[in-house]
Amino acid sequence: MDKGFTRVRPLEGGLEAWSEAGYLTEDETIVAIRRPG
Amino acid sequence: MHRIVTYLLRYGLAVVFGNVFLEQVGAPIPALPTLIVAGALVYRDKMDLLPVLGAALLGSLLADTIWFLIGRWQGHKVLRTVCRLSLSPDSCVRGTEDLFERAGMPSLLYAKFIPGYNTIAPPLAGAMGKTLPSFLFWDALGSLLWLGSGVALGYIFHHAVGQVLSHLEDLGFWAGVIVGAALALVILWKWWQRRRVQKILRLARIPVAELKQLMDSGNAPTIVDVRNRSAHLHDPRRIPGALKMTVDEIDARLGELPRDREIVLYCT
Repeated sequence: MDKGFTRVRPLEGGLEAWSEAGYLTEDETIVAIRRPG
Repeated sequence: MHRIVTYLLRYGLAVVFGNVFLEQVGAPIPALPTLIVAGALVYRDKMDLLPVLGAALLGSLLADTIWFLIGRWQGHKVLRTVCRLSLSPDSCVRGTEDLFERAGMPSLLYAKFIPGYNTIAPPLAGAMGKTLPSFLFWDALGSLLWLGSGVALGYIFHHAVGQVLSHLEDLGFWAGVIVGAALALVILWKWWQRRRVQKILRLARIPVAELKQLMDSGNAPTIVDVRNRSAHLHDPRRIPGALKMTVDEIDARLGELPRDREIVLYCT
């Protein structure tokens, strides 16, 4: 990326490696908002 | 050429089956030369077309079904394992998933003609929960197209194939040595090239431990989850605080990314 960004690096091993290392992940949740009334 | 033909006639179908099976299962032994020779022998009425295609199709379907079942059992994990054989595991997983997501099962029709996608399409179909009958239908059609092309090449260029076989026959024992050495050189060169590129890529990547350290020190970079839609459906987890942005969206959403902080991208 040469579009003025400081530094861009891919994560080695991706999400799988992050999870295998035992680090915390969060779930994507879809939240439905119901308007009152 | 008589001895080679005699050998192929005796073990021909087993050689065709074994070679196709080994290539499809992932061994670096190309099946195309065998199919071409088989095609030339079909032209000379030394082999029958249907048994040749049948043996090759059986080898292909058997290997692909094994990968399909592994994909179903292991899910997306298997894609990373298969892609470790490629130059860039991340782009391999993402690229093949994108292709499969766009084209679906009919992509198996031409998967065999695309290096890389060839090996990964069957486990990908399994990981994406496709049914076995549907997989076998599309994979059999795609395999027949690929196998038929190889045999047809040999059939059309039977004269040239005959000349090559005659030269090899004249060389006798040394023909085996030359072919073996050429195959070993190709494998060695590919291995060396892959190691070189992997070393460069490793230097350019951030290890998970370093990212965790940066996050814990309060100096967290902006983390971007660039997985595609199907990967999110199969695995809804993400690294805490990660922005969700597919590779196709990056250009349009560049404004959301800070220019004064490091950016870390990740996929499956």
